[in-house]
Amino acid sequence: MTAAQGSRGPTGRRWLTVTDPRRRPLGFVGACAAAVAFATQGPPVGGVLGVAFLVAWVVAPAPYAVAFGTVALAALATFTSMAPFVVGLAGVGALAVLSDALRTGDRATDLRAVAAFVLTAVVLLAVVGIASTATEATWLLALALVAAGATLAYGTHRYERVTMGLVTEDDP
Amino acid sequence: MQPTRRYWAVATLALALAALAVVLERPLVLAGAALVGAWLVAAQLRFTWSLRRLDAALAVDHELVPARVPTGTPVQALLSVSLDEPTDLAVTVRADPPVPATGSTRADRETTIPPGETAATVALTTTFPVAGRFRFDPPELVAADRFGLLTETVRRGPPADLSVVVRSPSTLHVGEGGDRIAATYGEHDSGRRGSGLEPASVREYVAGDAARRIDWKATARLGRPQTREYDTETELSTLLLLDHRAATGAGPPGESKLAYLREVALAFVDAAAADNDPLGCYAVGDEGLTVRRDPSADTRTYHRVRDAIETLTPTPTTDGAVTPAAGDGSGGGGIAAGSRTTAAGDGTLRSGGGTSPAAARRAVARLEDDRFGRTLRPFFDAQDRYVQRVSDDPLYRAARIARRGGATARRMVLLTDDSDRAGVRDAVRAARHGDATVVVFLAPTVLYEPGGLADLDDAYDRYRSFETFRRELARLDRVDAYEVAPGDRLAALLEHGGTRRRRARQ
Repeated sequence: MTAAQGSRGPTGRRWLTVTDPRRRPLGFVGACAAAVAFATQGPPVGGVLGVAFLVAWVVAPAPYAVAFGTVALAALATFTSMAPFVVGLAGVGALAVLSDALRTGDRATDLRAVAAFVLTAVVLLAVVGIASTATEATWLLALALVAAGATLAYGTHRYERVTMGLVTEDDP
Repeated sequence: MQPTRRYWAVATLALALAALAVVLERPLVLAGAALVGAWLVAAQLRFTWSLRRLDAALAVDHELVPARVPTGTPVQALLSVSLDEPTDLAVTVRADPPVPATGSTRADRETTIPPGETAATVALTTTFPVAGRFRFDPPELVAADRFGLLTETVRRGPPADLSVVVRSPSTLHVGEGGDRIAATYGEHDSGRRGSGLEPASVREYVAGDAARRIDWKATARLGRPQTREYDTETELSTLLLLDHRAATGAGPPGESKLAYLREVALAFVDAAAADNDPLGCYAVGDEGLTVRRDPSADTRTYHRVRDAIETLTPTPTTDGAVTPAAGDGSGGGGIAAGSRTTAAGDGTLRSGGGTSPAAARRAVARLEDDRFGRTLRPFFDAQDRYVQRVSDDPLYRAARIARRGGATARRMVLLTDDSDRAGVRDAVRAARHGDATVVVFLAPTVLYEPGGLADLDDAYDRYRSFETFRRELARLDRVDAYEVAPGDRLAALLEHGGTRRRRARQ
């Protein structure tokens, strides 16, 4: 696998793209796992989508690669019946890819960030799961997910403001 | 935290996945949206933790060298930031000079702490064209995460205060006829006896004196009951009347008449603040009063008066320029040419009107309606114009307003020059009231004019004319008059005068 082009961020670092897969073993394993999940759905479409996901992981930021994989998986599921094992493998692969994209090299903070990511993902999926027991309407499930995600994001924002002492009477 | 466009792009991606799930009726796609959303929240948390670690490891030193400068002098703001441990955030440190600071670009004001490094320094050099007290706010630290998703701006470290003063003269002379006065400004004899701490005198006991005031040692020594008196502690309320009309702009930059008069005025402010005495300040420009602060003894008043005095500039002339030299009493020009004072051959000074308004009115009243009276009356009619001139004179008007506004002031300090001697005389008379005293500080124009000492004989004559005028003022009841001059130029002039006198005796 070759080095990929990516946009430069404000710090000069290529943003979330894989310049050298050997330096990102977790992401590499996750991307391969997802590609295998695609391939199990049978050649040639599954194989092609698996390779396309690997390429996306290399050249695009990790969230975009996962978004691509999700859409590809949904498209594949319309043509073939998909075993829960395949969906689980793809999901674990996506978790690994996104977890890897949160790492910066500071081991202690990396571990906390990955744990926070997994926990948040579990919470959001649980919200969708709980909502699905009450309704089968997809738009209601989507609404519950967006509301939960927005609440968590805003709560984190407030947490940061308070802990940094940036909340005053004039600027709440 | 402030999200960047990149953050909003990823958030939009998650929303788009959710929308796609709704459109395609595929709940599976919601799982992708949940993962991307969770990733964003985790990135926020990571940024928060990194920020807190940065804050805990941060030490900011903020210093100005020097902390008090004259206008136009470079000031160096030294800003150093150090971390106990490297951070995974990209940190930009930005100095925040006040608005009047000039001479620095945005690039000069900021620096970054490179990844893995633990220290950065900003050395910013600025100048301040205006006087006053300014504050460099605590420096800004802009932290950005390594993913380019979030930034946060915080202010950390102490502010730094800077006092910018107008350029002050180097050799200030305050005195009489070339002799320096030794008294410090602000000390005064209350002239009253009573209870206090400072013993004043011993006098013979009179009926009604309190027994506890009897000085038993003096009584034993003199054989008769003696009572000790003490100086009553009083506060001396002072009102400064500072002239900053165009004529006070004469002199080199930073060494104009106004610059010297300002130093004297600031000395009064310091003395009043030290003794907690009430102090007020009026300033007069060519168009009238520009500063009006009635006497008060609170700290804010001292600060305001000081700020007002430090920021005064000579009134620009109508063409926008500052009058270089309005001429002294023996010369012409200036803002009150009609009120010029001439030095008579006998050394006495007469104003353009030749007499005071009151004397002129009395003289007119005494004139009889004969040919002699009719001949003279037109000359005395000129006093009508004189009265008009007086009322139009800003210094005179300011003195009258100050006398009313500062009615509680026991001392009025008038700081002006001698370019309009009749006007000064009128103002001094207007300033006297009750038992209040007037202290006049006069800047002799001849010592400030560029090239004024080129002809030393002429300059010495003009200085003598000034000195005569000063003495005339000092002879007035309850009036003290002093000269305020550049010491070196005055010394040179007096030395020449001494040489001339010795030569004349031989």
